[in-house]
Amino acid sequence: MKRGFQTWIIIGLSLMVLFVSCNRGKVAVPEKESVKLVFWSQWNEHETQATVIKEGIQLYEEASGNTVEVNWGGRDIWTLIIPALDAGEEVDIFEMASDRLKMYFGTKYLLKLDPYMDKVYPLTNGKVFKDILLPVVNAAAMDYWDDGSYYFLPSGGPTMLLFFYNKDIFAEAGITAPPGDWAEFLEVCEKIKAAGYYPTTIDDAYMDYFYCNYLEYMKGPGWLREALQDTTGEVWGDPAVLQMAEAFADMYRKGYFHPSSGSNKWPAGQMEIPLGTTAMYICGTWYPNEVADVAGSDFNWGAFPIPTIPNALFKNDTVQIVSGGYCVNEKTKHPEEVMELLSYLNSPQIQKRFVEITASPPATIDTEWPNVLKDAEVVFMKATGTMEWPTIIKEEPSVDAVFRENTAKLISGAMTPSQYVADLKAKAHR
Amino acid sequence: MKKNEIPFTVMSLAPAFACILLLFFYPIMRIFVMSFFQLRIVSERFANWKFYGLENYRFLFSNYLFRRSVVNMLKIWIIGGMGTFLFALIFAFILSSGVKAKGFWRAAIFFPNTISAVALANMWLQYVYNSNFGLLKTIFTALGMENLAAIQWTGPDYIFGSMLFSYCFACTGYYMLIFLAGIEKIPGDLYENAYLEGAGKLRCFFIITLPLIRNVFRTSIMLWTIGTVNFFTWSMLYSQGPALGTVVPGVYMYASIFGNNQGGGKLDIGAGAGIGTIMTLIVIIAYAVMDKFFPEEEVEY
Repeated sequence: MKRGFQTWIIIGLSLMVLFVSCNRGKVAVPEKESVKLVFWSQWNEHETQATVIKEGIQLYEEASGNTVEVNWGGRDIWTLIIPALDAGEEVDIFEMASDRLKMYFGTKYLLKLDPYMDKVYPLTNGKVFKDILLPVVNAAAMDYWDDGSYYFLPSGGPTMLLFFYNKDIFAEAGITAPPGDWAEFLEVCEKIKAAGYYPTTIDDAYMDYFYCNYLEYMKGPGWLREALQDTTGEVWGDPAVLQMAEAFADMYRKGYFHPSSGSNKWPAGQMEIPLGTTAMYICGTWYPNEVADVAGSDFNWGAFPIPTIPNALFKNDTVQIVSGGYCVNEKTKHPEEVMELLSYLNSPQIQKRFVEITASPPATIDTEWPNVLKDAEVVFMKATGTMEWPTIIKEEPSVDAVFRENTAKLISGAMTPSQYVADLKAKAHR
Repeated sequence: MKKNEIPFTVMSLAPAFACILLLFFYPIMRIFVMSFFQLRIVSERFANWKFYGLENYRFLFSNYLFRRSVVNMLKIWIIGGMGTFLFALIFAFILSSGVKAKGFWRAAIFFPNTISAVALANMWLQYVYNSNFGLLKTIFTALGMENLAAIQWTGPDYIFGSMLFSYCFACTGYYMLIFLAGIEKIPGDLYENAYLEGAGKLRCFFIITLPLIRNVFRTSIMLWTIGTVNFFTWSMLYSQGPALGTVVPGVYMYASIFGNNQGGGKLDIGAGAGIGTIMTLIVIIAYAVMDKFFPEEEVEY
């Protein structure tokens, strides 16, 4: 019995030695931990932009094994993100428009992205990240702050403010080219009116695209920003303001505004163009996509820059742009993973999808612009300068509210230009 | 209370008291203190607050937009209150008079109160008031009333009235139910005696019903006052941010603290906190005035 027991011990030890020697060389390597990134998007989940972002995220997740948790908060995140970050909410990436970002953030909370822009990522076709982006996209990012660093990454091409118009109405009215200056603009309006259409309209949401836009071209953003500091109200007695009021009143008298222009609640006004009653609408390059369901795929879109205004500092070769983009929380624990995700979202492959699905200008070079923005692309390529988005007056809500109401009254004939200026001076006093 | 019951009582009340302190008094005191400082952002650390004295209040009272917001709030309180209470009382009176299908009418009048303000406001704005194809335009055009059909109900001259009407439309059912509950508590034999002595229904309403629902009326005025001071959703839905026609203090406060979610809008946290403090004071003063001039009285039937 003793001998039999000894035999089994020897067999057992031999098997153990055999097992260990077979596994020698196979050192157990711990698997790479999957990382979860938190992304606060400025889009609602039903919006077309969300569809494309989901595609980009899915590609990234499949390639990296990481997961991305998205909060489709819509534009509400613009007001909620700072308190959330201050409260320690774990957010790796969030979206914001550049003008708002500059006003509320500066460089606080934002990770500098420069080191990552010089890296090659899976979908950058062997190039460093910044080299696949349009020069204007890089410039928009680097111009954001004095030190020229990347504090945010534009998510697409430049959003421009233009007059969008129905080319079929223009053709019917015998208009062969879009207007270059204000006199030509009035001639175009007259022809459209003669053809039986309303030349233009506006919504309450975009009323500042009339007054702020006009004054920015007339006097420049610097003057406007300084004027908002005036608490006496007297600065609005500047001849530029009266000229603007007279220009809009003149358009009203000649019947160039749709009758409901002063009372439109967004999106009532912007729907008049795809519905075929009105020819032109001043808006950002998101406009054709926003009304695509009503306009249909065969709507003949045109676009031209703001006509050169008499006595203005800036002409129609200066376009107003704003960039929406991705910001990376400086406290993110996964900067490499975050930047890789952004390289997917800003890759030529996903930017092409943005063009196809959202009809927005792409961020990447060699990506074709959407058909509905072909005229916008021409405007952009011909532009010699850019200017701030016309929301400067909104920085002082008490002044903006007066401009907004008075402009609505002006374009519906309920106020004269002199009343417009006098009322503005009185109510802007504070 | 017996001595040995005190520890138990204190322990029982302590959690509720702690919640009131933390969730009620602390935010109010913080807002009050904030109103004397300048802050970059609402979640700014106290060490970075800059003392500003009474400057925020000076700015608010010299600011046309704030003054207009207070005027709008007062108009909602007075005009809206009178209109809402008048119709709520009329409906409550009719429903308590033995009308047929009382349950149906009560549900129908209360129904708008159950619908989200967002849905209601959009229905009024984009359908009822639309100046191209809206309900009012269609009806007035069909009746040949071209002047009324041409009215821009959402234009600067009418937007406040339009908003107020739609808000009162939504609220009337709520107050009708409150008044109806008060009326139904009144014993029926009081009315029978009055009818026997020759009083009609209308006279009974003024000499019996109204005096006996005095406390209900008082409560409703307080509820309406608090609702008016907190008026926010309808104003935000009717205008894109603070607009002269629809702005109320709550909306201006939101814009000052969080900015305009359409883009732009300078943050002024101290001024926003000042508005919050003023709104709190208005409610406290309203309650004190109500207590002094319209005290609760015990009613015996």
